[in-house]
Amino acid sequence: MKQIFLVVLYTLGSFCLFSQSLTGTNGLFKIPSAYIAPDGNSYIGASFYPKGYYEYLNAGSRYTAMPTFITLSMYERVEIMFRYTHQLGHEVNPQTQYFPDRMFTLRYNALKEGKNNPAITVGLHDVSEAFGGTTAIPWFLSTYLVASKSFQSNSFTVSPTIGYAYDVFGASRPMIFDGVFAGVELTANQFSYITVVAEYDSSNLNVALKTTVLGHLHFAVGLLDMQALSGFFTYRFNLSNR
Amino acid sequence: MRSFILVGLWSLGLFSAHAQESQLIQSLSDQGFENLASVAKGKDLYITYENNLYRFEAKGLANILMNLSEFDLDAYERIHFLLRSQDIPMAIVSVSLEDLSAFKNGIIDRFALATKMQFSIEIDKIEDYFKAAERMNSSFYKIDIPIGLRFDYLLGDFNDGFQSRTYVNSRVLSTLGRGTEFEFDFLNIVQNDIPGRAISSPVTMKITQSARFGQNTFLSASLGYLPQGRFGMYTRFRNYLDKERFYLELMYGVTRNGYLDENWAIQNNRNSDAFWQAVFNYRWNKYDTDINLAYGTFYAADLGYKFQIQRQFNEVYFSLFYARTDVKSSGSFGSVEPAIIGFSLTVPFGQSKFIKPGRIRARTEDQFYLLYRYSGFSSSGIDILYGNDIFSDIREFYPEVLRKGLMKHLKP
Repeated sequence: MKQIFLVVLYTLGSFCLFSQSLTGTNGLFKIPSAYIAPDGNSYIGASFYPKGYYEYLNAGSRYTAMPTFITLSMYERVEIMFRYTHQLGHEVNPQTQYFPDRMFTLRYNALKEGKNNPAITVGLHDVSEAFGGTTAIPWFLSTYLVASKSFQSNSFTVSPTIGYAYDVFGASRPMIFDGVFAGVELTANQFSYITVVAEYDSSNLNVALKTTVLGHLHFAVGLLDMQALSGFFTYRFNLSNR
Repeated sequence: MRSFILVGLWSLGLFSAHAQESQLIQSLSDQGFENLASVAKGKDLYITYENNLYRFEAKGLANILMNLSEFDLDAYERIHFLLRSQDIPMAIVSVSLEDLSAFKNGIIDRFALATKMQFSIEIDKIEDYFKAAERMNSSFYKIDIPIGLRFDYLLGDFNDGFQSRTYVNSRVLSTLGRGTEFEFDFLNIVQNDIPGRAISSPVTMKITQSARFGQNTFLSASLGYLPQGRFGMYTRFRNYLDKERFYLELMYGVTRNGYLDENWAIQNNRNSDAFWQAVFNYRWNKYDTDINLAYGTFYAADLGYKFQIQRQFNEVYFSLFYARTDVKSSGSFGSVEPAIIGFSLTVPFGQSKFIKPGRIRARTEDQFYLLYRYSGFSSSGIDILYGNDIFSDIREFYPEVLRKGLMKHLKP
């Protein structure tokens, strides 16, 4: 029975370098990675931030938040994402002056991963203001450089990521990632459908478990700051030919 | 005597090849392909057709290629297909029968076959071959009724954060001659919580004449009740340079604001506007991407420019845009934005293969379109909608789109 269960799990699950993060871009749990999914890959998903971990407008971080996002590898080196985030239970009306946040993200993979070199990606989160598209305050701005590399042994695949976020545009608010962030993903090759994540998001330590089911569904559950339960799910589909 | 026999055999061979060619054209006609004709030139067979049977041109072509093996075409080495739209020649596709046979027998795969095939929008010479050819199954005077969904929405109102309106749209399309098309579009509101005027009513009733001239030049002129509540005319002139890699488009229109109410009476017929636009487009074939810069007047007669990058994945289009015009856009929380940004998504909708075109045919619309503008209340940089014309589906005929489409749809 146990063997059948394992065979089913093995068939349904698969290791995938390309999975989303809480923010909606490709990443570990909260931090972004340097990987960009193959050309034409798209993800629709939603994540969950507990109270205290998502600050927005007048209500600060008093509400739990649910970002919903669509992410597309528009080219083999370019990832774009549009995110629409609700603070759950926060009413939209003239008194609260609350409205769900909309943000746009662009990431460019400057260097593809090679045998001896990591993938390197430049990320621009919520930079509409910088490009003149809006004068609204960017609540989730972050600009960074990130590198990722995978190493595979007979038993494990280890993918460390390190990045540095620097305020290029002179943000009117603190950035979501600010300074050094880093993390590692670990997958036992025998159980390739489960990935363990540990990361430092430039202010907190987070841990998570991620899984891919049927090649299209990604789930993650983890602890932000090692204490607050959080997670996400995404559905992947491909718009290109192959 | 011997030469007499040889002449007899040769004539018999020709007759047999001609019979197979006729059967092929008859078969395509029976399937529902239109404006058919064939011409043989030595070892080359030229076939022209119009596809109103499959939603995507490449899928229609793939279907034809896969059925070719049913016919004995050994007398030919290559087959050339001239694809048409509204009877206007659009693109030429050439395939070697040897390669096609190798594909059917599993010697080469669909990627290799599509790579070996030749595609071009340079059709001037080939079109001449069909001038005297007899046509079969004309697409003229048939009525198509595409039915689809449209969706409008508004974000950012503090009284109601998400307002939407859903329409079922029914169009009537009829090709009346080469490039001449009548279009009628009726929007029926099935759900609405956006304040303001909204009635189920006709939104388009126009005649469009499209034409193709030499050197990849196209012209389209529409007259009547045009989309977005305007009466008048638009003309568009487009010239492709270096095949489909670049084009320059010039648009000029003269219209009056107005609309047809629920009784089909003309309302608010005033405020004349002249519109003009110059568009420069670069096609990045490797990634089926249009990089497009438009300068001129937009929907609200606002003057400015719009920069757009649009990626095509077969029938899916994803576009990012940035526009800056002399109308400032009002953004979230009372801000005034100097420019507007956003994206649009077009996805295929409904059937991929329609029923055979007849005198009257109902079918699903080809596409569903969704637009996101960061400042939804703004009228800055909104595209002018022209309705159906020769440019509506022109990208389906681009060589690399046909090639990649065949890679997807060809099956041995």
